Amino acid sequence: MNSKTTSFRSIGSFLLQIPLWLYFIVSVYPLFWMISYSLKNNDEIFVTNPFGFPAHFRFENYVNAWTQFNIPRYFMNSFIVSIISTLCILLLALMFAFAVARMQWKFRTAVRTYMIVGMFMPLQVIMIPLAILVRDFHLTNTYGALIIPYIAIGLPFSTMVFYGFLVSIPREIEEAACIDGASIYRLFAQVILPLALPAIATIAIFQFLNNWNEFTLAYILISDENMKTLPLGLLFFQGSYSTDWGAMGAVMTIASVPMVLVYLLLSEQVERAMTVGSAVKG
Amino acid sequence: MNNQRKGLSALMITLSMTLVLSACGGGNNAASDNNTAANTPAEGSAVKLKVYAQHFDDDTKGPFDYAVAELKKEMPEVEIELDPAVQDGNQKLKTYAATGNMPDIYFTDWATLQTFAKSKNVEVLDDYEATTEYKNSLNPGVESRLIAPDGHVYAYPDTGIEFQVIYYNKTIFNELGIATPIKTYDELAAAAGKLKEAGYVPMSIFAKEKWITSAFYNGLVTREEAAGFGALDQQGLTELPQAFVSAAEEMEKLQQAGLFDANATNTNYDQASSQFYQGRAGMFVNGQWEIYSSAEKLGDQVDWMYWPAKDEATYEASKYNIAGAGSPQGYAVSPASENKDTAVKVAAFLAAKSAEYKYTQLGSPIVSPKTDKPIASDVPVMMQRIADELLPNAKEYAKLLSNTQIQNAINDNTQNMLVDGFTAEDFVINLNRTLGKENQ
Repeated sequence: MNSKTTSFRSIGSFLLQIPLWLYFIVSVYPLFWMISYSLKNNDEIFVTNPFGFPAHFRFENYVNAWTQFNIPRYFMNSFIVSIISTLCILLLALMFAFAVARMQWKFRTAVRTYMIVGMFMPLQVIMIPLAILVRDFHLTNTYGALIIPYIAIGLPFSTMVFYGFLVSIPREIEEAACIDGASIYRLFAQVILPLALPAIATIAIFQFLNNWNEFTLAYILISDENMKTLPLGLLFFQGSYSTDWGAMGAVMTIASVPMVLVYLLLSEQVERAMTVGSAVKG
Repeated sequence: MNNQRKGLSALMITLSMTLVLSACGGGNNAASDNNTAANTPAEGSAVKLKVYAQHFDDDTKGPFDYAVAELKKEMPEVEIELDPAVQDGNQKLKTYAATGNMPDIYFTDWATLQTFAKSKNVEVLDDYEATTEYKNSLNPGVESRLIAPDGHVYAYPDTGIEFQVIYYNKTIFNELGIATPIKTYDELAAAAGKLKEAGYVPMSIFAKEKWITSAFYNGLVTREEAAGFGALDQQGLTELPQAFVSAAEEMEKLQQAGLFDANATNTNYDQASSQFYQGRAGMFVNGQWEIYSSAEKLGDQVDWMYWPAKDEATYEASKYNIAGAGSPQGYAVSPASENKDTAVKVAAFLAAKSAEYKYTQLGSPIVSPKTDKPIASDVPVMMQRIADELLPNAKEYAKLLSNTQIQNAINDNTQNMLVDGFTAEDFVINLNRTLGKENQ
């Protein structure tokens, strides 16, 4: 192979990579933009330098965010609410999906449809009845005020995904486990659960992200300063006439860290979900 | 196998208990808090009042914290529990009302008070002693802040009647040789041309918010109709009066002269104010409350001017017509409050002390109740000009437009006026349609 052919190939390879590089830039730019605007002031963000690299690194935005804003408290509240809700959604949705996808009983199709209908309920429609329920159960300004609705809201989509995943698992696996003497619980815990790990990782990321970022319900149901979550805390920087966008960007950057970590930890499982085919070799 | 089953059951029960306990633990606290507030307090015991008010920056924290500190001296038995409000168009407050979860005292505006008066979520304060005292303490001319158009008192106001002015950058005007004050629409259009040609945004306006375009239009209307939008609140008035038609035509001409940025309807307050403070815009339109920020950012480079008129004679005759209407607003009380009498006294006290802070610490003369304390800070020159020149000579304040349908139509259509292709004729047709429906 002569050098001319090699250089043609490398040019061709470079040209083929251009769309990928463009896609990379488009994908990463919002993150860059968020971090760079967390280091600017309002004038730079809106007028003098909206899209570029910060002219001066205004680290005081992070100092202001940390000192004026009770980040550790809001962070902990968001973490508790998101973790408990996500775990409960995973457990309940997976068990429900197993019951309707793998077990035979009379109303399973009707029950599954009923669950999926929940996906089509706009939050605004249930807001007032939900607020009344939360008040009557004395849950206002507690973690329960958010955890229970988050679970209810997260279940329909999660069960739909788990159902789709579980129906694709070959029956032979269950039959083999039953022949070996596994009970229904052991079958669920030791056979189905490990097989469903990629779907669990996908739903875990999706639901954790939803719960971490949720604003509307938290805004209505939480007013106690000690119970506020991070999205509510962001309102702190919104003034009666103007907003400190730099400090708000700093909080958003800090708040994004857990999400990035969760994604990094679980992304391998998600990728596996895309690539794993049948669990049983033919 | 039994062990497996037991293990799984134990896990389920533990998770359920964790959930229930975490939920109910705080819930009991909340419940006990409510009960404390719910009981009529014994003599000498603390009265807990929940107050929903703005408390997020120096403009709102200062007056509120001062008022609460003063309350501690006056009524030590009262404990204030703050529920901070945010800029959400009172959506959270309306949800509180819909769920029967109203705070004892809340700060709100006339539009919300009207809704709450219908749904019995606001206490009518007419017959309280605190109201009589408040009426007696009012600055002259601000009665419309306290007494609603239906004759009732729903809330205790702290600020007086606020209004809009046009700010301008003196350095840019001098650089381009634009004479001030601008007195006529033609002069304003010419100034817009010069500014645009030199690469400046002639007038920065945060027209993403509809109220400011509406306020701009009201400024033009008040040159020939001092009552402003209030003139539209009459049964039988089904067509826009001439002063409103002329103002719409002038606004169209100014838009065509390039007074507003092409992107104005997509610009928020932070963007618009930054444009002005960074010296990219020659003028900026906002309320008199902007004086503090503009003096801080631009020092003596900035000043304000009166609204221009069709000719100099009209300008001179109308410059003291104030483009701001006094609508009832302030600290209101929930009828469901278990300590209603105390809440009424506290609401009046908070409003009076908040006004006192604004007058003494910020030097703002635009407050509702009088105060006998002296101003304790440096007053910006522009605010001093308002106190010395404008307020003592004020001829007439615009009147309140209570009809929300007409107000919404004005808001929508004045915003459209900043967009190419939307004409004064379109504006008049749309407004006449609404007036025909509402005033017939």
